[in-house]
Order: sequence, then structure tokens, then C-alpha cells
Amino acid sequence: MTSSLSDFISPEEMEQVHTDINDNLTALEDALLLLEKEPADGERINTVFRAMHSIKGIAGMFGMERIAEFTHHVEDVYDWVRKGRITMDKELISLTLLARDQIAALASGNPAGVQEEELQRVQTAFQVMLTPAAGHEKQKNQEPVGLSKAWPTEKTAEALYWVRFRFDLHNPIFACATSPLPYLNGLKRLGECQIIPQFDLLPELDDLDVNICYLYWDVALITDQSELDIRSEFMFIEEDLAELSIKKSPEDLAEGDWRLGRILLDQGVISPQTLAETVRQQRIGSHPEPIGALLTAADPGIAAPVVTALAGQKLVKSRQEVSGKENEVTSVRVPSAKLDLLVNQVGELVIAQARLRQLIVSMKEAYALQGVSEEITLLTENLRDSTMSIRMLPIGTLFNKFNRLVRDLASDLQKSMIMETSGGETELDKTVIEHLNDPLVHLIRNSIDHGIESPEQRIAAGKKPGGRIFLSANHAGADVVIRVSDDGRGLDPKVLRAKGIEKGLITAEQTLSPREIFQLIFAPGFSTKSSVSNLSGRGVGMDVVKKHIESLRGTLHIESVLGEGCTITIKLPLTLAIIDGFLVQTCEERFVIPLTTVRECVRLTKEEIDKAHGEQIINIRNEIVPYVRLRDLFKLRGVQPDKEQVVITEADSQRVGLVVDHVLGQSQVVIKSLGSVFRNVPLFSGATILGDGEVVPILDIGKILEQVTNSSNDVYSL
Amino acid sequence: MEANENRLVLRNRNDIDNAQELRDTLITLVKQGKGDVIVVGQAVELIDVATLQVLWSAMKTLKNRGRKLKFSDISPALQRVMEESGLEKNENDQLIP
Repeated sequence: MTSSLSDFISPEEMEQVHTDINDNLTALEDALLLLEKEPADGERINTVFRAMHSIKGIAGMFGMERIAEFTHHVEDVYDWVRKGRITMDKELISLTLLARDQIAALASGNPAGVQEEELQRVQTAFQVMLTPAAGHEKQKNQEPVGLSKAWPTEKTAEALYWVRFRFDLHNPIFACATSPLPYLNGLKRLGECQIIPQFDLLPELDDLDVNICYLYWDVALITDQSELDIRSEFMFIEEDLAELSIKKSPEDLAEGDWRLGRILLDQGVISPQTLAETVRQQRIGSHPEPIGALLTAADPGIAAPVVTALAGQKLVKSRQEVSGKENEVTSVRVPSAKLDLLVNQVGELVIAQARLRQLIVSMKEAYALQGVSEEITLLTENLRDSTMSIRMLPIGTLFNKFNRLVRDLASDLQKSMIMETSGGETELDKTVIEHLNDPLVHLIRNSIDHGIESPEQRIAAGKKPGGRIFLSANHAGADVVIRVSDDGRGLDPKVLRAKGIEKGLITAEQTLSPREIFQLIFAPGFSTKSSVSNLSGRGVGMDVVKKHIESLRGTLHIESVLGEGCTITIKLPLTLAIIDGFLVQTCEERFVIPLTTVRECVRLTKEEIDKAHGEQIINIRNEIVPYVRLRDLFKLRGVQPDKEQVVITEADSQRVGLVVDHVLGQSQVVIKSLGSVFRNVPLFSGATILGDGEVVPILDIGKILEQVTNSSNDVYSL
Repeated sequence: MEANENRLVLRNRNDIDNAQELRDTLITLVKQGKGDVIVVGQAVELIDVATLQVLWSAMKTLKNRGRKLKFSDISPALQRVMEESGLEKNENDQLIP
């Protein structure tokens, strides 16, 4: 029975294996999409090759034979592409993208996701490319030899080469005063090397012909010179006196897999099955022996290649150590569950710190403790910020995924378009990014399906035939603003209004601003498309998108110019967990206002009230700001003080004042969910636990602003 | 080179011209001697790979008979050529003492 490593790998380790494969698939896809624009980009072609090579290696090592076999053919094709024997073209890119999808399906471990026919078709297509009759192979370029070659050639990125040279045993080279030393020294001039002499052909003294060179050399060479440059070192002996073999390792020097087993697999010295069996043996021993020792014990004939591989490994590791000192390790993989646990624990620490501070404030003459409390407050804030930053990821990781989506959808709809992005380095909480994927996919699909016209329609409208979708992200205070724009046909307010009347969402008599009309598309079942396509038109998308964004405590707005395009703006908080809060009190109730929304705090004087002539507005440096009393909004009972405070808040570029009895100060607050009972209370975005243990709601300024703007008479009782 | 029962002292010049003589001397040491063979390299000023190959063949021959070839007093010239050819280690990847 053939066993594989997967029989001995824990679920966590297998998860890591899948992560590694998926990382390579992502790199592969990104490179392919870039190659569509620049097919001759050698670095991208190498990236594709390396990704396939890595996937093959990982799969082979962990018993995923089907993946290993499949990627082997793709890897071979791209090796030929690298060598210029196959041309990189759109057809090959499309086929490789299909291959990528098949590998992803195989790696997912879900049999239902694998389309065996398609898998076989794609695999056969790659195999055919490798046959001479396929016609894909370009005329083989004969490498120039001898003195006619050009010298020197262009430098390439550093790589490890395995060089073997051996003198012809029938040629008495020593008698001709030929020595191997100049050639070995020549290699040393090209880069760093480890020279490994091999003795297996050397006879005992009785059989030794002193004129023949029985020794041969394996050299592990790290160089930025090309294979041609290496070969040229032997130009005077290669054709007549010596055999030369030069093989470039596909592994990246800094990030490649340089385990001994991997090296031997790459060199074809051992098979994946042999390696798997050897690793299995290693794991079952109580004192694990080195892989090299086990392999050599099983097959003494590979002792020499093992020594060579070890020398190469040593060379790479010494190089990595040098580079590592110059460029420190930049990242560490951490399971998401551990990160979430850390954030929760920091959240609890923040609450405990708030309680401590509260207790100390209430204690008289606790001066020493106050100092300690302030120090702990500072440390907690720093820890909070550091922990939150660990969870932050650049949104570009999400944007990049959409290149493929846009490409495929445009192809399906026979539309021409490009996607551009900006602000990909903008960081968001990891959870927020994960939840953004589906809404953004839907918005992009809508743009492509509804928004961007066909090339003919665009030309008729005086536009370029190719449409443009633009994704952008930027920080705005404590929020992140993400925009999805297109230069398509835009939204027609008249059509939307008619649909809104038809659906009973508005009446014919109602007067709505364009902005309000655009918001109609977020109503459930609203779609102006006359037919349903695979992409959109069922009307179940935009309302779900809006709910999704709101579940992330975000907002969604649409702007559009008919005939010119549409922009959807999403505003999200940077983090879902801990914020700086502004604590206020009205009557006996306390509330937290997110500090990022607070602009200033002013006193509401009798003079201001009189000036307003019954309107609830206040003049802030000649800007009229509406206000609402929290006691009125939440129908709180209590004596209204003579002097009230107005907290001027801002959301979506609009301001509203919240009139409170007392301003209590700033505090870090850990956001807790309202739970299922209070989930639908619209004016609260969550709750927090203060230092004294009281549960206090966090106000949703955006919703309050809507309330005030709509002049609703609704009040909410606490 | 000079050879007593188990010691072989290399000359100052060692190349293909005297490689055959070295081989014959070593054969004698292997067949007639017992124990390990010590190669003294103090006087070496010039040595080539052909000579080193003879010495390594001797090393292999002795090893197959349960004996060893060792080096002593390695001159700088000898050390340099051994390093250049990767032969500063024996066939078991052990450094030549």
C-alpha cells in the first residue's frame, strides 16, 4: 500500500498546505493577468513557472498526486516558454487560467467542485503543446558555442545552478597538460560556489591510469550570470574533452523550498514516492535521522547526489543568513483564531483598565495610584493600537482578486473594459476585508452588466469602445472610503422614479432629490432590468449589499450622471472592535458618541434658543446646524438643566448637534454587539461596558442624522 | 618522494611527470606496509590535480583494506590546490587534517 505524508499530517498542517497552495495560485493568477498586457515579461513568466513548480512540489510531497501530475504538464510548458520554445500568447494565458481554476478545485478537496472532463481537456491541451507536432514550439535557437558567441550576456536575477563537469575518460587530459583547476576557478569568478569532487569513478591504484582524470566535479553555484555565461567558461573543452551539465534550480533563493528532499526531487534523483516513504520513516523513529542519511542507507548509489545537494543547501542558507541580516524577516503567519482571541483579550483589558481608572478617580488621596493608572491607560492604548494594527491588511489584496472577475465577465458579455485601482495600500481590519468581498463583487458585476455599454453603444455615445471600472480606497479620519466607479451609462432618475412608483416605494406626488431617488435601488426586489441574466437583474442584490455594509457599521451612497457613469461610495470604520468614545449623560442615562464623529462641543444658551424662533438649530460660526435633544429622541424623563451642552457631530459630510445634560469625557470603549434583542434598534451601533460595569449604548450618528434630516416624529423609548 | 615503511614525503614539485612514480611508490606502501600511510606535504611548492588524484586513489585503496591515508605538515601550496579542487575533504566529506 502506498502511503503518503497526508496520512501523517495533522489537520492544522494540512490547512497550512492548502494555504501555501492558495498563495501560489494567487501569485499565479496575478502574473497571468499582467502577462495579458505584456506577454514578453520574463519575470512574470518566471513567476508562473515558479508557482506551478511550488504547487507541484507541495502536492507531491503531501500525497496530492492528481495535482502534482496536473501541474507537472503546465510546469513543463512554462519551462519551454522560459526557454523561448513556446510563445506566450492570449490562448495560453486563458488555458493557464483554466488550469489554475482546476488546481484550485482539486486543492479544495471537494469532489463536487472538480469537473473531470474539463480537467482532462485542459491537461491534454498542455500535453499536446509539448509534442513537436503541435506547432507551438518555436525554431530551436542553437546556443552559440566556441568563439563565435557574444560575451558577456545580460545579467539575470541571482539563482542557484547545479553544474557538473567531467572529463572524457578516454582522453588522457593530464598528459596534455590540461587541468580542471582553471575551470573551477572560472566558476568561482561567476559567483559563490561549493565545489564537490566526486570519487565514484576513481579506481584503486592498480587500475589507475595517471593520465586520465577520473575525478569529476559537481558545483553548486549562486550567480546572476546566465547559463550561457557559465557554459562559456568551458568553451575550450566542452565539445572535445569534457561533458558539461548545467541545471538552474527553479527555487527562489530567498523564499524557495531548500529542504534536502525538495532539492533531490528537483534534480530527479528521487521520486515523490521515495521521499514520502522516507519522511514517513523519519517520523516513526524515536530519534529521527536526517533525510539524507535515510535515503543513502536505502540506496547507497545516491550518496554523491545527496552530498552535492547538501552542499548546495549550505550555500543557499549561508546566503540567506547574510541577506537576512540585511533584510529582517518581514512577516509571520498567525492563525486567524489566535488573532481574534488576542483582540478579545485586549478588549477585556481595556474594559478592566477603564474600571480601574474609575475606581481610582473615586478614591481620595490616591495620587500614587493615579500615576500608575495613567501609565496603564497609556500602555493599554498602545497595546490596543498595536493589536488592531496586526489585524489590518491592505485592501489591495482584495482589489487584485477582481482583475480576474472583470476579465472573465467582460469576456462573457463581449464587452471591452479595464479595471484600475488606487489606494490599494489602504489598510482595513481583516474581518472587514473578508466581509467586503461579496458586496464589492456584486457592485462590480452590476457595473459591468448594467453600467458599461457594449463597444458599439459606447462609440455611438461618443465614448471610447472600452469601458473603465475604477476602484479606490482612502482613509478619511477613522473611516475608510471605498469607491466603485464606472464610466458607463449612469443611472436615469426618471426610470428609477417610475420603477419606485410601480413598486409602491414612493407615490407619484412625492418629490425626491436625485440622491434620494438613487437610494431606491437599495430596496428589496428593485431592479430596472427587463430580463434576468446570470449576472444580475434579480433585484436581490443591492439591498443585500446595503445590509452587508451596514452590518459592518458602514454606509453606502450613490452618485451618478446620466450618460457618464456611476459611483458608489462605501464608508466603513477602520476597526470593528475598539474605539475612542465621547461619554455624555442626559437625565440618568449615559451614551457613548464615537469620538471620530465629534467635531466640537458648545454650550446651548438661552440666547441661541431665542434666536432660533422655535427651530432646533444653532449657529456655529455662521453655519446653521440642526440639533436634537437626546432626552426628546429617547423620551427620557428628568429635569432639563438650565445649561445644556451641544455636541456637534458629523457624518457623511453633514452635521448634527446632540444636546445633552453633561459631557463626561473621553474613554476607550470596547464595542459589544447589541445582541438579537436590540439588533433592530436603529439609532445604536452597539454597546459597551463602562468602568463601573454599566452597559451603555453607542450612538449611530449616521442614523441620527437621517432621522433629523427626515424630520421624523419617531421617538425611541429606552 | 621518500618513503619509509608508512611515511611518504612529497617533493617540492609534484605533477604529471612524476605521477606514475608516486603511484608505484604508493602501491608498494599499500602492499608491503601495514597500518596507515602518512603523506608529508611540508616541502610541496608545486602540485597538480593529477598528483592529488593519485593520492586520493591511494586513500580509496587503503580504505578498502581497512587502512587510512593521512596528511601531515601540509604546505601552503598543497593546501591551496586542495582547496581549489575541492579536495580539502576526503571522499567521506571529512576535512583532511
